[in-house]
Amino acid sequence: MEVAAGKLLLEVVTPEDLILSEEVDEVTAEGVEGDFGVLPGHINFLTALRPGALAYRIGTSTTRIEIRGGIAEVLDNCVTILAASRA
Amino acid sequence: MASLQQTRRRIASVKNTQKITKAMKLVSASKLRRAQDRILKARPYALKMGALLSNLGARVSRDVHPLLVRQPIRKVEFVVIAADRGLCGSFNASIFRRATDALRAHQAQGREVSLTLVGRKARDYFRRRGLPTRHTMVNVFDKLSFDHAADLARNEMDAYLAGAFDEAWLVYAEFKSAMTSVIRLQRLMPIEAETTAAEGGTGADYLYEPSDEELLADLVPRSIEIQVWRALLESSASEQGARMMAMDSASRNAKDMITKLTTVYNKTRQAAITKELMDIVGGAEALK
Repeated sequence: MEVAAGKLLLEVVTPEDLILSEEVDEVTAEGVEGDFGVLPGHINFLTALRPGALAYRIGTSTTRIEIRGGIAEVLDNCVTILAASRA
Repeated sequence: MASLQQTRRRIASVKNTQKITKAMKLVSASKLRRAQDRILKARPYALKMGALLSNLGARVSRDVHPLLVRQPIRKVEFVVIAADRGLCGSFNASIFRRATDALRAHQAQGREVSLTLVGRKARDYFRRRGLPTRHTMVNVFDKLSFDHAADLARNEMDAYLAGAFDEAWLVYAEFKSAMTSVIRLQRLMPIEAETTAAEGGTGADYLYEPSDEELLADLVPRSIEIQVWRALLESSASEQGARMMAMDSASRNAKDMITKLTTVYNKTRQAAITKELMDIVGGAEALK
């Protein structure tokens, strides 16, 4: 999928639904080996997530959602969160 | 010939039946739409999961996870997914036939078989046949949620890891359209390398955290959950489709029957009137 320059495409999917699909500027999540932030241009990255908060920033507004753990994949400025289920 | 009153009662009764079958058809149609919608919603997760698994599976050797390792097969488990309710044509029967064929084939090769039954109809059918039933799950399709799939998957994985069986198959009806579904026999465990590779990995290189082995161990159970979840969704959509078709033809049969009975009713009525007229005319003749 094409992503605008300097943006990240954040997709949060659960087995039951596509919860979120949005262009954002920054994503912060809680991985099993520590919290991490993703900015545009991040290296391809795959990690398991702890249950906890997932935050994303569009411009200056930040939104937090709770997830029950899952897998995060960063690939070519697309951040895909395979969340276990709706919290 | 039946009396006028009897025929009238038959017509009223068939009309009532028709009302019920029509209502059931409408209910199934709306449930079918919802079920189809859920299949679509489950797709992005399943596709992504398949891609990740094949990607990781390709770079990690098979023996790192017990659910990937193939063993000599002595005991086989069948997870039969059918409906909780009847009145859906041959839906349940065709699933049972397929499951029975498959397990007979394995028994013929001297393997032990066990069953996990999902849906009340499946439980009732196989209970009468005295096959070893390991686990049952009934009354799930009214309020189907991912938790059901997760529970079922967890139960299967625990039993597999405890050595209760060496191979597990899913038997369910895959939804094609409201009119057709295909009975599928799909291996759940151990996970097939072919199927994981066929989902199409991106071949991308990642930074892993934690190691790729640990990630794979995390992914494998989730992938089994999603397979079970999809099977449940497909089955539930197929069931509603089958019921819709069955109720549609039942409504049409009722309509035909009403037409026939109405003809009979009118003929009987006419015959009675004619007979009465003849009597009156005959009586008048006699008085002349």
